[in-house]
Amino acid sequence: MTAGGILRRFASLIPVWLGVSALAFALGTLAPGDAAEMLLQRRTGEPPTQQAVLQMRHQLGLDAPVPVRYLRWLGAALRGDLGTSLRSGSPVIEDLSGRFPATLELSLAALLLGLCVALPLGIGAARRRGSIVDHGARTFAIVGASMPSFLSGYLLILIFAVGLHALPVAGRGGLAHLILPSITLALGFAAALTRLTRAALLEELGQDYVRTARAKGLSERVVVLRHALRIALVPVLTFAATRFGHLLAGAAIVEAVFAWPGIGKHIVDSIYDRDYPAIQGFVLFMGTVFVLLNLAVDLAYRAIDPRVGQREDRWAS
Amino acid sequence: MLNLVFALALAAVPQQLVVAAGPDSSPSGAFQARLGVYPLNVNVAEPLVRMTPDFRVEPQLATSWEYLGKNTWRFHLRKGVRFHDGQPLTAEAVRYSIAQQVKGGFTSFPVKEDAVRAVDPLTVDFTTTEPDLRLPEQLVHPNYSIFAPGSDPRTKPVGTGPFKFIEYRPYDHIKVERNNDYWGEKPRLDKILFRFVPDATTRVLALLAGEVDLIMDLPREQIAAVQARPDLHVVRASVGQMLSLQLNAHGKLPHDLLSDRAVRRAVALSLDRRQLVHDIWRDEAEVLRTMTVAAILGKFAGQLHGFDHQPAEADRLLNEAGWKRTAGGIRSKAGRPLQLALIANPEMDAAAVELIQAQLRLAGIGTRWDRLPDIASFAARGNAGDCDLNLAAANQNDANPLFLPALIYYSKSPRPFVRFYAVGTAFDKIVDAGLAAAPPDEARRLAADAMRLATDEEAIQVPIAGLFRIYAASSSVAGFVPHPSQTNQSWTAVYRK
Repeated sequence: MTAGGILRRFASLIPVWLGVSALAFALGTLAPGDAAEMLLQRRTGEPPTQQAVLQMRHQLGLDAPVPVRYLRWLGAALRGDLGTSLRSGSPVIEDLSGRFPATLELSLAALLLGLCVALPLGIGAARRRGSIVDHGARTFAIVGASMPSFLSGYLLILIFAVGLHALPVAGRGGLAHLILPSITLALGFAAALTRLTRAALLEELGQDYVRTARAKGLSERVVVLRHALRIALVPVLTFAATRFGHLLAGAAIVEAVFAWPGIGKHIVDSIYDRDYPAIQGFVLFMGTVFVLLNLAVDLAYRAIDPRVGQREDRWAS
Repeated sequence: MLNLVFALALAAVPQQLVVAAGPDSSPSGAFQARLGVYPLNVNVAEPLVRMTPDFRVEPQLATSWEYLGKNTWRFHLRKGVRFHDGQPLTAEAVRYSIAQQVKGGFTSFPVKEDAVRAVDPLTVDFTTTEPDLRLPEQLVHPNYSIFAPGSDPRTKPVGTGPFKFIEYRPYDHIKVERNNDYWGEKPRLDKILFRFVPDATTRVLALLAGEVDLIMDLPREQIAAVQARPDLHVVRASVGQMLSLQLNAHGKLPHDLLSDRAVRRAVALSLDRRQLVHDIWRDEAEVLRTMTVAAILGKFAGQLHGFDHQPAEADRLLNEAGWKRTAGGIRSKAGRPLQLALIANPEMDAAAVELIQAQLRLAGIGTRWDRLPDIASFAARGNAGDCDLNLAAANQNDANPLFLPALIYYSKSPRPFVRFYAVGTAFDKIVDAGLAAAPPDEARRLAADAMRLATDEEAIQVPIAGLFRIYAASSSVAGFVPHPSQTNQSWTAVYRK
C-alpha cells in the first residue's frame, strides 16, 4: 500500500467515528432509563426524589436537547476530550486507558494461543485429510465453537484449579493467572480458525499451480508451506485480525467468570448505568481499533501476496 | 489457663482472611462512594450509631443522643477515640464528614451542608430542614460514617474502625489490617483481603480450591455441594432482603385493572408463597407477611397477617367482581381479558417470576412478563406506572421501620412512582405520626399499622418472601456472625482456628 493509500485509510476513520458515535448516542438516548436517576440511586441505595433527579440532570447537562448534547460531545471529542464518565467522575480516556491494558493482555494471550493451536492443527488436518489428525481437528473445531465460554471457563477451573490445584481460580496477577482465562477466550477463536485454515489450505492444494509445483518435483513440505499456505493465509489473516477486535470487545463474559479487571465489565456497568460519555468513548475507541486492525491486515496482505499491492497500485494510478 | 491456651493456639495460626465479595461498586467514584463502606463494608469507618442484627440502634461513635426540639438532635461523642492517622474524634470531624456527605448527595433525609454544628469538642447538634424523629435510626447506615478531616474517603478512607485501610485495586481487591488502637473490642484478624469476584459460581469454585476462606452470597443451588465438603460450612443470616409485589392501584388505561381492591386481593390470595419458598428458594427463605423484616417491628409484627393461599376466596372475589372464566382459562369482563403487565427486578430469579405467573394463571389471571435488561429500564417503567404488577426487591439497611412505607406508599414521598402505589389519607396520617414519634416503640407500632393498611386491607403491597443471606466458609473460619443487612456486617469477631 502506498503512503497515499495509508492516508486514505486513516481518513476513512472520520466517517467511521461519526457513524459509530452517532449510532451509539442515538441508541443510548433511545434506551429507557435515566443516567441521573441511576447515579443518585447508586449513591444512597434508594430511589431518588424527582427534584433531585431534575437537579442532577441539569448538573450533568442531560436536560439539553439530544442534538445539542451530541454536538457538544462531538466538539469536545475533536479536541481530544472524550468527556467525563458519569459513573467514575474521571475522564473517560483515563478510565479506558486504566482498564484496557488488562483486556489487551488477555486478548493478546488468547490470540497467540489461538494461532499456535489453530495453524498447526488446520495445516495438519489439510495435509492429512481423513486421518486421525483431521478427525481430531474437526472434533476440536466443533466442540470449541459450540461450547459457551462461561462453561469452558468453569470446566477449566474445576480441572486445573479445584482438582489439580495447579492454577489460580480468578484474579489478575502473574502468568499463572493468565493461563485459564486466555485458554477460555481462545477456545472459540481457535476452533473457528482451525476450520478456516483447513478449508483454505485444502482449496489451495487443489489448485493448478500446486499440481505444477508437485510435477516439478518440489517436496510436499515446500509445496504446502511455501506456495499453498502463503495464499491460504490471506483469508486466515483477515479472520484472525477481525476476531482479535472481537476478542478485545467481547471479553466481558470471560472477564466476569475469572474476575479479570478489564474493560469488559466496566463497559457493561456503564451501559447498565446509562453512562453515555463512557459508552461513547468505548464505541469510538473500539471503532478505531477495528479500522486500525483492518489497515494492518491490508498492509500484511502485501507482504504475503505481492499481487494484492500491484492490483491496488493499478487502481490508484 | 484455658484462655492462655486459646490465645497461644490462636497466635500459632496466621490470622489472615481472604473474602470473596461480589462485584466492585467502588470504582463508581462519581457517586463519590466511600471506599470500603457501602455496599461492601470493610469496617474502616463507623457511623455515630450502629444497628444490631435485630435492627435496634446502639451507641457507636456517639454514646448518647437526645431530641432537643426544633428539628435538632444532640449527639454526645465517645471520648478517647482516634482516627487511623492519629487525629482525635471531635465534633469538627463529624461536621466535616456529614457536610461532605450532604454535598455529595448521599443523605436520604432533609438536611443542608450546615446540618451539623459543633457545640463543644465532643458534642454536636444535628438539625434537619424538616421534622425527622427517625434520624438516629437512619444514621446507622454506613453511608453516614465519620472520616478524618482532610482525608479523601473515595481513595484512601481514614476512619476510626477496627480495621485500617491498606490498599485498593479497582475491580480486584481491598486490603485492610487490624487497628491495634481500636477503641472497642479488638479485632482478632490481622489482615483481611476482600477480593471482588462478580460471578457467584466462580466464588464457589475459589472456595472449593482453597483460594478464598469465605464467600458472600452463596447461590442456593450450590449449598448442597458446599455442605457435602467436610472442610467447609454454610452460614445464614436471617431475612434482610424482601421480595414483594407492588400493585398499580392508580394506573391509567391499560393499567387500570388493579384499581379494584377485589382484584388486588384476588391476586394476593392466588399466590402460594410456600410453594415459591420451597421450589424456588429451596427453603432458604421464609414466607413474608410484612412489608419489611419482621424483626424491625418487634412485638408489633404479630399485628400483620399478610396473605395465605386461598384460591377459593380469590375465585369468589373475581366472580363477584364480574370477572368470568373463559374457554382459554383467562377471565374476562365485558370482553376485556384480565391480563396484567408484569415487570420484575432484573436481578430476580426468572423461575420465581414464571412460577408467580403460573399461580396467577390457575386463578384465571393472565400476566405478560415484560423482561427488562437492567435496573435503569426497570426503574423507568416503574416510574411511569407502565405496568400492573411490579415484582421488586428491597433491603432494610437502617433501623427506621417506616423506611419502606414512607418511601413507596406515602403520597407525600417525592418519588415519581408513588402516585401509582399511594395507599391513601389514612395511611399518610399514620406515617406522619410515625415520623413524628420520638419513642422507637411508638414508631414501630405506627409502622405496623401503616403496613396493615397497605398490605392486609388494601393489598397494594403483597409480601412474597424474605430471603436469607447465605455465606460459605472454610471450617477454619470461626466467629463469623452474619448481619441480615450485609452492609452493616462486622468483621471484628472473626478469626482463624
